Amino acid sequence: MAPSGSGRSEGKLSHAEWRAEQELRALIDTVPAHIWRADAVGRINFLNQRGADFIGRGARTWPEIVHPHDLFEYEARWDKALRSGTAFEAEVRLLRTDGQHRWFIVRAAPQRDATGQVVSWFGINTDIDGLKPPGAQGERTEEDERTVIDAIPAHIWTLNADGSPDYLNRRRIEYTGPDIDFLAIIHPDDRPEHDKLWEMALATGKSIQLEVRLRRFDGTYRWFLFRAEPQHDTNGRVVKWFGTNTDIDDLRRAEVALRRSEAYLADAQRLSKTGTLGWPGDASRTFWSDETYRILGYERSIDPSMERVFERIHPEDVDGLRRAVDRARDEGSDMSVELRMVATDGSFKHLRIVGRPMRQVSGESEFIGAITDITAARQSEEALQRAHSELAHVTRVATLGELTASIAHEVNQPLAGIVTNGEACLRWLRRDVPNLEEAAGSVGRIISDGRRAGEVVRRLRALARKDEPRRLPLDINDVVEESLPLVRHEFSRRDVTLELALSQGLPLVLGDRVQLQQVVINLIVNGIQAMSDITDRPGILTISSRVDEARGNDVNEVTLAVRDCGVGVDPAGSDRLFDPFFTTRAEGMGMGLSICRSIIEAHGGRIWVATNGAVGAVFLFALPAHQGGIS
Amino acid sequence: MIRTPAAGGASVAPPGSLVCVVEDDASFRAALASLLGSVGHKVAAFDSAAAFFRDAPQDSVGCLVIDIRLPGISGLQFQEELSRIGSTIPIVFMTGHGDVGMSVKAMKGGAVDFLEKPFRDQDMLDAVAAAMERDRQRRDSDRAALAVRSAFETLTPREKEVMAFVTAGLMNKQIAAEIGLSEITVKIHRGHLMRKMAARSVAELVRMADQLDVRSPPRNRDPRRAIET
Repeated sequence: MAPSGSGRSEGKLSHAEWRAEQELRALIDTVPAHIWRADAVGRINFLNQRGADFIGRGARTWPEIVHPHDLFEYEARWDKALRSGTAFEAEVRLLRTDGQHRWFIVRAAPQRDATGQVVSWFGINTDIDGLKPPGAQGERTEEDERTVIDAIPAHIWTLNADGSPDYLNRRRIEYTGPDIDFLAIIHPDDRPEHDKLWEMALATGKSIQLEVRLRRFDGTYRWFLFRAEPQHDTNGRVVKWFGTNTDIDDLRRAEVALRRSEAYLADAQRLSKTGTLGWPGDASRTFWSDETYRILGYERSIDPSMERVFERIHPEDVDGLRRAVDRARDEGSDMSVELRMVATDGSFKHLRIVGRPMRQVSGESEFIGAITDITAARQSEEALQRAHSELAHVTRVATLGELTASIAHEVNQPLAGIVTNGEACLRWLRRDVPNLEEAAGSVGRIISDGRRAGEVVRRLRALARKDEPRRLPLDINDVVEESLPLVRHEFSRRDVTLELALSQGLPLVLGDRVQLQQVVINLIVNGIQAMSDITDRPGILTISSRVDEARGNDVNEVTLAVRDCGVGVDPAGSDRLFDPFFTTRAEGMGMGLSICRSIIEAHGGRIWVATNGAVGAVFLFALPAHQGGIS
Repeated sequence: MIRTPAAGGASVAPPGSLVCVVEDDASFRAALASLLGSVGHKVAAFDSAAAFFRDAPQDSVGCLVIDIRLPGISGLQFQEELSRIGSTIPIVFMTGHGDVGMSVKAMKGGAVDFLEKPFRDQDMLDAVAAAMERDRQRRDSDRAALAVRSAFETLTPREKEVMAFVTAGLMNKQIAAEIGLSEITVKIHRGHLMRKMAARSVAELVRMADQLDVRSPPRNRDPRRAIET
């Protein structure tokens, strides 16, 4: 409503009419009451001088001038009158310009046109302050009010100005039982805070509120929101305190649980170096957890966005991440990528980002992700790999040490060939008639012997060198053939016959040539040594290769078997054979088979041992076939 | 069997003229064959003991040059096998690296020499020459023994009996008493057998008897029997 000042009628009037209106206006302005007119929907469009003096000029609405306690009732009556078109009456406190409320009777009646339609309302507000006893509650019966008050799910009470109890509703009594002393039911821990505030309230006459635990009849405490509001008399003195205690225990529990859960989550994120991010269709609502900020190295104050994530990603990995995100969104599938991040200080971090597109209840699709700093894991993984490769190298060199005799023989043989061929060549040349054909044959053999010696040395150096493992497609048969020169002499030294049963046309496997040679050499030497004490049967070592057809979704496997007829293995201890430092030989370090296993497992394969029929053992390893290509 | 061009037709090689090389390393085998061929030896080369036993014309073999470590059968087993079948072919062993135990065994088994690879060519040629010489001597002595044996087979039983007593050191008179003949008859038998055996002296006859393992029958020590005769 917009109470206005004196209205000014429009149009031309006769002098007599003008005089009559002036008189009427003077009358209206002088009557000791507020006289007003409102339009058909209740908007006041005229207010007399007294009304304007009381309420003040300017745009003020009913809710601003009607006392809050009376407003609900007042609006309900107005509403009813407007709808029914019947006269309206209410007792309300109205706010004077000086901030004081005074009791009024507000009465209004409708004015109708010829058709009976309400066109406006005429109202009068009569000041009844002083006539009205303090605390009067209008026409409601006390019983009605009690019913209402008791129905409200809260404790409702009033205290006298000095703080002594005046009224308690049923719920409040039910809560505590017969013991109604309020101070006695406050949790001891909450007393100091309560007492302090209450003292302050009594001293200042201001409303207070606080959360306290109150003891129930059964002895349990529940959290309540305690509020007290003073009622003042016309002189501004507190005459009564109105209060409510609202049960917030469940709310508070939920809040505590939520806070704890959030704390746990934050701790877990911190510990696991995993942050979460939400990326809704509406990019302005992108969410990052604290840990995400920390991992990405952004201040908490910046607005999260996917672009800011991309800014941190290593330039070479950005496209990969974009593609992964797009694919996950398009296909509705999960994504998981590992990539590098460039921190603000220029250092690298390794991140794993996993994500899943989700459809929210609202129907909007959102991308939920987790971002994990895997730098430490990656570094220890790399360190482990380095250690593993170094250990493999050390044991390889140790194996070469054990094979010194074989290797010396393998180098000596071509050297002896070179010397003898050279001497023969000279003799053919020094003949009376030099035999050039024989001499040329000798020189040819010298060259091939030289190459042979060089090849042995090259292989030795490859085995002795400490190289990073390199995976290349290779034929396992070649690995066997290349390993044999280094151990050939072991066979004759121990009177063992070698039988090769290598299948042709095997699929290639992806592997490190030197490491696989190491495995083959180890298995051969083991097999030969297992037969060194055998006298009742010829020592035969069989090396065979084969391809095993894939079962189910597996890829084909290439299997190499090294079969001896030696002392065999104890079935009970066959698992321990591959453990580090497990050895049955006095001079053995016990690392050979353990290294074989870690090499084969690093190649995605497996290694195992079986008994070779009645006598001896067979060591086998299987490697997954490399996709693409037959040897 | 692998032959070098210089070896010529080994199958028609005269007895004891062929040098056989047994070596599993093809290049070294060829080198050795070539070296031996360059000084005029007939050479046959084999990659294993089994090939040697299967293909070598045993009678032609004058000497063997073998690696002490051979696949399948070792050089020492080879040596044992040869002696088991009664072969006395002289052997020169080669080894990739020194092995005192093996070389001692090889020499005890009758090896001519033991050469470590790489060896000086002259050492090998000397060793082969020595082995061939030993073979030649063996063949000569075999031939002589054969002659003695066939001469012995021409003797009559009585002559063989007299030979046994003669080589046991008995006088004609004692022999006559032993076998119950007159001394003059013993003397005639003795003259015949000395001529048949081509023995120029009793000492030579004793050597032949040793070679033939002729033993004198047990002496008749019964005095009664002596009186009766």
